[in-house]
Amino acid sequence: MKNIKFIHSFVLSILLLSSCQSYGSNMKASYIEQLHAISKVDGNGSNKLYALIRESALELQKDWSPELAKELARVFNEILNVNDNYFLAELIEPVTKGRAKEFMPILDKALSDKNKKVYKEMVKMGERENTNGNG
Amino acid sequence: MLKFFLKITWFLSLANFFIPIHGNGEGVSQWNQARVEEGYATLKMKEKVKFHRTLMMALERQALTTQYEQSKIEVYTTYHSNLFVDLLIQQAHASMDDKTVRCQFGGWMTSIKNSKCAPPWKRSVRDDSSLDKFGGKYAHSCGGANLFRCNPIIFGPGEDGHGICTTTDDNDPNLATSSCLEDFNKDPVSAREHVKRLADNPEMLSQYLAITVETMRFCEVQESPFSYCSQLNQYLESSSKSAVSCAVQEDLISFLPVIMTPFNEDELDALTNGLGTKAKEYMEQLEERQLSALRHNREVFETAIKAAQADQRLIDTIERAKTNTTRCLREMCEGTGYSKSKPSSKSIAFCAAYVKHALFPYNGDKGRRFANFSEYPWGDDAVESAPWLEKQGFVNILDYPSMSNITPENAPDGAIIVYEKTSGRKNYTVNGKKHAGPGHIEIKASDKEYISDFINDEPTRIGGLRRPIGIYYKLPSEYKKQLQEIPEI
Repeated sequence: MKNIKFIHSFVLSILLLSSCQSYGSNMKASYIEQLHAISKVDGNGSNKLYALIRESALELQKDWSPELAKELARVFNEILNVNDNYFLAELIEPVTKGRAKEFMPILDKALSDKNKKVYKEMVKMGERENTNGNG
Repeated sequence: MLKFFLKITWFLSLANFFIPIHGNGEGVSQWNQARVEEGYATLKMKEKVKFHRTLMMALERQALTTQYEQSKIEVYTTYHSNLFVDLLIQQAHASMDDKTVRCQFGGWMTSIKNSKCAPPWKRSVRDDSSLDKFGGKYAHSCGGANLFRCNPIIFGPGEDGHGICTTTDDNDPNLATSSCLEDFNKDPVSAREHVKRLADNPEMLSQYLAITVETMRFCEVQESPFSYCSQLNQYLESSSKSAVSCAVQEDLISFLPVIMTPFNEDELDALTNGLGTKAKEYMEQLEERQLSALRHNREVFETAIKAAQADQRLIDTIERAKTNTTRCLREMCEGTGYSKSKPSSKSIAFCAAYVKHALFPYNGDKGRRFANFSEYPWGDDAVESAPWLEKQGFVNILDYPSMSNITPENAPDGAIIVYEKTSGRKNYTVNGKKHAGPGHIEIKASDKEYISDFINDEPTRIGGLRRPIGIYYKLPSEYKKQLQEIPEI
């Protein structure tokens, strides 16, 4: 009986672990696929798109993937083409701060010359708001 | 719970398998766990799979054809009880690992971790809100080693009113409970007085009942019940019944819903001579009254918001806010590349300042105003807006349960929406609550216009980086008088 219980627990643990692992990689594949489908951003962007950017950045911070990083940087550049409001820089903060060494060269390559300047200004304005407030 | 379910299905599945071999229950008394296990072991894997599948289908069928309202497991247990009652008796009830079981520890109900009872004086137990229904927590130490404070709800207030202090090992639930019971029994007068005390205090009596039924469950799950179980259960049961019969039934009924759970319903009903069922009816009526009050208040708010939307001051404020998004107010455009004007779609990180300017405009600005620039709330960031908005008579409708499902997306036009950051380095305390900031504030002009220092075409949630904490309207003063109190459940 004890052996059966042990086998039962062991099999359950393996299933659980493998499902967690595949859940993580499934999420990454799903983010890549969703980002890949975006060639141009409609209007000024949307909360739905921003949520995708934010979740992808969080995923990258947890588990680095060059492919996802490239897609994220490319779509972020597309967003900046239509919306340069400073707070959007916060969306990719998990990866710009948490994975700066790996991500910043990719972002630098993906951003157009104009958007490189825009991004710098956005970050600066965000820092100013955090320091001095917005009231 | 899962373990319990697995055990049940395990044994029941064996039962189903062996029925055809021995007919409908004939010779069942000869069956025991060892024999069933032996039989199961002879099956091939495919047979085992088929066997389980058949069992689950039978279980489903039985659940559909019985009148029982209990869970399928219980229905199935009942169906097979004649066949396997001896076998199942030890498996069918809950065990010490069951998370719904609480431990009896000197009159206190405590949590169980790794099959061990946690002492009631431990912080984790005192902080455990799931134990609140059993009454007050262990708060008064007896002030010495090997001294334990018995729960005053069960063993009376003792000499100092906080419960009897008994000499025992305060880490041992069995010794502590036995010692409390022994000390309490020394004075039969105090036991009678305690019953009277319970009858006069319906809330305490409900907690007493909760402890009584939980203690019965706890004793039931022990493989070898503690020595005190029989005596304590007898005492608890008889005093419960006496106190309930003397108590004002209506008062007691209002407290029973707090202690009722799917696990103790029948036991409570038995102890209170049917009051459990009445408490359920009371609860249903209370829920109906609550729904009706919520509906009424919602209508009051909707009418009040319509009136607020027609207020010329709000209409002019929205107009000013729109115009301001193209202007550089004070020196706020400094360092942004703009000097006098800016695009209305561009934020310059001064949302709170722009919303305040719309509500507290310069003297030369057009339109009616909520207040003058002289009253401008200097310095406060967006997340800190609640105090000054409330000072100006604005009401956060999210504070009212009838309006708690309102979001920036479905809020009627004219709302002033305040957001906190979902993560941030800077923390603020506003009206006693902590929020990350500086946050965001905007006025909803329409479904496509959320105005602050820029105009956004959707609520500025920034993909979840901002979370709404307030949706404000300046409501006419009469509305508050029309609100009904929401009965608490």
